[in-house]
Amino acid sequence: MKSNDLITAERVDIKRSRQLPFRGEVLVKFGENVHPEDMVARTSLGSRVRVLDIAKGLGVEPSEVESCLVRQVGEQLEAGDVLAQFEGAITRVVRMPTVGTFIAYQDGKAFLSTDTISISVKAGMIGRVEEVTPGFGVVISTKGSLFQGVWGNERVGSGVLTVLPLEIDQEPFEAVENLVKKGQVVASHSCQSRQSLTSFVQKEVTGLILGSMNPDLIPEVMRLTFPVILLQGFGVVNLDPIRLKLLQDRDGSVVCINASMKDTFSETPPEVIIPQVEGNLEDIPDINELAVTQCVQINSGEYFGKIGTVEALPEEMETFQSDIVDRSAVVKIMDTGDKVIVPQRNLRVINGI
Amino acid sequence: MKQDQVSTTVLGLDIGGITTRASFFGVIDKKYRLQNTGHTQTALGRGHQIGNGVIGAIQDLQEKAETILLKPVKNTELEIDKLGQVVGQVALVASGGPRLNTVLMGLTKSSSLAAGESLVRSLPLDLAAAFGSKDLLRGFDVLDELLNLRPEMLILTGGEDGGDAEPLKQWVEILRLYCQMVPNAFRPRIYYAGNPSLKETVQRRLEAIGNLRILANIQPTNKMLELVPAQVVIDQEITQFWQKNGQGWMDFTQLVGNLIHTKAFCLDRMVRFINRLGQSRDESGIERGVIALDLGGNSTVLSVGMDGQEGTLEDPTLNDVSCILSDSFLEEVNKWTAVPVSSEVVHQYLCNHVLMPSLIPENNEALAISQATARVRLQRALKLFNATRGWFPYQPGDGLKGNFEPIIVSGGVLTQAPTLGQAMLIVLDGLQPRGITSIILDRHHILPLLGLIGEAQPVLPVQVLDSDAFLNLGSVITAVGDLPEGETLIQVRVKAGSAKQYSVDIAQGTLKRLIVPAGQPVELELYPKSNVDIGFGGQGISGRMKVISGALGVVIDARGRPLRLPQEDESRIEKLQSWLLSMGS
Repeated sequence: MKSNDLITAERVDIKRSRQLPFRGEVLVKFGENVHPEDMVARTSLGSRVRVLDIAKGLGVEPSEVESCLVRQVGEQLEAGDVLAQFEGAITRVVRMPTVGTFIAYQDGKAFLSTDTISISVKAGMIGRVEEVTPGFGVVISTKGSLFQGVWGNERVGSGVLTVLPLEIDQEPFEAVENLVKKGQVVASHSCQSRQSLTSFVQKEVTGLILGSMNPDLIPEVMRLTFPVILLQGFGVVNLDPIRLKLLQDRDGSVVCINASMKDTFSETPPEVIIPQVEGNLEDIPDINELAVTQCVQINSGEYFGKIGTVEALPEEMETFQSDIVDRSAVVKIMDTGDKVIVPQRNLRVINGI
Repeated sequence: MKQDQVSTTVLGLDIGGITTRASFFGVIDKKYRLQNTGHTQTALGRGHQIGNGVIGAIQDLQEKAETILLKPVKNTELEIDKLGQVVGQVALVASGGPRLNTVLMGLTKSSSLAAGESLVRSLPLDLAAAFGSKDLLRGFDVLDELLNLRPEMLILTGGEDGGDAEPLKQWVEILRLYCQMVPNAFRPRIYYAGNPSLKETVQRRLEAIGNLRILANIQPTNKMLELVPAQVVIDQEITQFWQKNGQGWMDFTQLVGNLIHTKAFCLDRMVRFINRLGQSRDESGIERGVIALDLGGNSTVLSVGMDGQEGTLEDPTLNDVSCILSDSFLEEVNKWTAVPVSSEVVHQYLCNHVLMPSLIPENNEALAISQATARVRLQRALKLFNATRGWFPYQPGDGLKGNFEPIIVSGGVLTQAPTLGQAMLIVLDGLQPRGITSIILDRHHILPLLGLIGEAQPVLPVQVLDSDAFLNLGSVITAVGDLPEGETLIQVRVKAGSAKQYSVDIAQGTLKRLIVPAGQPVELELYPKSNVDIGFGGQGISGRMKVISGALGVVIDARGRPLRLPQEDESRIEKLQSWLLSMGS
């Protein structure tokens, strides 16, 4: 059975490609260090088209205009540049009314784009430019901790990590008030109330790493300017002991969040990267199949959000409480040692643990 | 194998957003039959190869069958290649690929844009925007919108054959400018499917700079919609795009040759086939249409055929948690959930389901939410279909108005429902049909495959449709009247097989199952009250009919139309539970 997997690792080699959809300009150099919000490549498309009636301007027939053009389609021009000229008793000219690009010509008229739509790619992580594809983008690499999540609000950012010392099910607003400083990235079990969310905003945090969140907060979270990433899902789920421990170990480190949500076909889910130069590197196994001994997160039922180890994948089908019959897995819950039977399809492999 | 050769074995593959299925058809007693099926989770996303899912489904099939299709070699590509030596033909329907960002350009909202929208929504495409002739007044602002949208596909339509071509010429010029402004790699596929008198102009202006295809006019006259030729071409482009851009597609697409289409396209074709096959009026002179619907992991596909009109809608399922709060989706799901559960829990379930669509409902609460979601998806599909197909007799909140038989349904939420009664009730609550119909469960999800395989083996779909691959859930008679709750609105006399005839009074507000062994012929005499319509052509018209009993016998739905649920939670849940109980669930 194909697995749904997320990577959680203490120290791995991380490489991410950041490319423009079409040719533009790469803004960083090979070997340069970058931060999440740094623009690494940029391009633009012409916009705001204006039509210039050259025939009228020169006082000639449209069919005569082509021979009067002194600029070619595709040329970028400054305001006042001569676009067309008619040599007669009195020389007449048509000039560019504004800065722009001569994009097309037809029936005595010139089409100009007078503005641009900018398209850029951000680094999305702290790292070093390892490879440059001229005109298109870069590959950024770093070594460090990697936590992939299930949802993000499409923002990128970074800051110094602080992990809130909360009890299970405790709302973070009081701790935020007392412990959080401006510019920090905060990790917390959960955010269930607007009061808590507001407290993060008021403290001007630069990122949020949560186990779970109340889905009613989605519209507000989508409007935030800093990144928010969920590691486990929507609802009331505390950060699991493994990820909590790894985050606590890195408290005080610089952390970056790329909370960009991509579809099923994308390469990477939203993720947290904590660069760390020193230490041993782990290998992330390429897991395609659910298997015994893997660490998994349960995504349904009573044990929603819990992590554990797959102890068995029974051959026979299981009838669940809903009376639905499907393939099951026996999972030993990490913090309680309970063994539970859950649908295989409802498991996410926490790859790398 | 060439397509004009007759194959005795056909392997049908269906790559869905969540599940990949393999169905093996062979000849038994001189007739094509579905012999075995297998399935596994679709291998999509980081590090996954589509072909792995296909191999997994075939391996599952092999375990159930005695036939060995895959050679036991390690290299996956070789494994699939070997299929061709043991299977006569391989066909592939797919719905698991990315949806191309599409923009529509046309003339009037009620005519050419509606026609174009019908075309776009009949296929797995994302309609990013639709521009009509009114937008031409905005001049080059439209260009800026296009530059921001950067569509992968652009469909230009409008103008009847021989009609006014002027506004279309303006669109052509805007498209030309757009193509000149974006880099080559970003130029969209452009399809022209409008007034044919403009064909040469379109070619002259766009062919050199755009990726242009000229199609037949999709609306040759104001009252005529002719989508099929355009669907064929665009569907081919979609599957080619998936093959080029999906990891592992190329491993086996050579094996299937041209027998590859999207699920929506194949379902559309199959409904057209069934509609024409059974196009006849019944004894009462009532014309009946056909409905097929698939509640898939990626989308809801609804195909309808009636009165010589046909159409398909593919409505993508929620793919973004933000959408759950739009269009009253959450409230509607909450309303149809048959267990006491808070709106917050429903919202959480739906959000987590969007993040992990392969989730199965593990407990009763999740099952109730999942089945409520299926009802709302059906209602939403009918509403969207009706928005562009004026002929489709549906009013939001009031259910189907026309007579449809059969209604063929599939999708994991139905085929995996713990009881058949639950599957039946999802369909009845979602569609709210009227008159007399039968609900057929495509329990192996093969209807789209039949539409595809019929291209090469025309007899196969006919023979498999007649087989037990499809499960008749039951005939449904809907009695609609405006009587007080509990008052008898119809008397039914039932004669099943050799059993003695008996009589049943059906009361307003009830849902009743007549339990008759599956497959047995049943004679029914129906006597409605004067202001009650049971589908024999008007209020108070009685009639006699013969049906074959389905797995749930015969169902008489006297709950009224539209279905009304109490506002108060406890009564609402009690009502939903009582309906489930009536269906034996």
